[in-house]
Amino acid sequence: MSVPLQITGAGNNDAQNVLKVTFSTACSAAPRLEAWDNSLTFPSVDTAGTTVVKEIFTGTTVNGSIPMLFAADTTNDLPGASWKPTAATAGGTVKNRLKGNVNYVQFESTPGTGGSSLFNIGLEIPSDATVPSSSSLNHLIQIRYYYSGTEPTLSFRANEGTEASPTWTVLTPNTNGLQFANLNTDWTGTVKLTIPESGVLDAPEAGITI
Amino acid sequence: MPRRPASRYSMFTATDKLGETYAEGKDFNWMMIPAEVILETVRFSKDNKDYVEFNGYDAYYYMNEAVMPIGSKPKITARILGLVKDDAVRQIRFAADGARDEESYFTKRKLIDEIKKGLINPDIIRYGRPGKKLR
Repeated sequence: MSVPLQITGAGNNDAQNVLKVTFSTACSAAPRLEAWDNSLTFPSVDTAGTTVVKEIFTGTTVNGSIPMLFAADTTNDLPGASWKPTAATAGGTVKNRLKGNVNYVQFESTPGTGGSSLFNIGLEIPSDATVPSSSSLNHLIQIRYYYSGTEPTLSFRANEGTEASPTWTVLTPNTNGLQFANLNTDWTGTVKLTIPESGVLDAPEAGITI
Repeated sequence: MPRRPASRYSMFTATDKLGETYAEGKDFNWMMIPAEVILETVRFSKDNKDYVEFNGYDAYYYMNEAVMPIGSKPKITARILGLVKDDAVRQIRFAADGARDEESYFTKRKLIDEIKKGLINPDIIRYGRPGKKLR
């Protein structure tokens, strides 16, 4: 199995085995999952997130001007059905909208040596989102981790198997990246997301490309 | 001697750009995954259902075989053609219920050939230009 791939269960679904980050050595505190503007062209990525001014973080009138990205810590539990938070919680919580260090996911547990943190992530697109979206939705997902002594190396994996029997495929940041797309997307071809006629739409699929 | 940590910030000056300060001996770092969304608009315009909005101001021209308001109960499918880049013509078909059905690409030469063969009526091709909506 290899990139490109569709990520099993990604989005507002009751799925635990979606994305995974593994730490080579023990962390000293539970990590965070954040999202920031990416100023570089996909799949290149900034060396650190610094701003959250793009529409994906400010939202639009139709979605109540809240961040469009949402995520949940699924390390220990399923997120539950229709788990998408309807509002952004200040600071960190296990399920949250994502906006820099204003709203982020705080993982509950601290990974030990070889341990992993799991998460699910989704995107809500309102009907008044800006098209073309290349400069309004390009972002980066950031894992902030803590350690004492030896710094761990991190590896990212996406599940392209099933929820019950995951197949974890490694993805390489700066070479691979995350994309949100329409239902029944051919992940070897053009990846697009059509905005809804009205209201908001949760991206039906997510995948790893390039 | 104080240990020199491998992180990009010393544990003794552990204040990141966001102004957060961590306790001495608690190093931190981060790793990023790039993420992207390519949005498109493919819908019948709300103010005039005879027209189709294809990526808003990015559309060059379109052709639809039958005009049908999304949400009603059309009896035939519709097709939208968009000149997306250079010679590539993008085709999106809608099913009878108005849902997006399939997407494919072909060349402008094929489009011209089909017009010449009478397979496409050139009278129903609406021409636009970049930066201007199709009205």
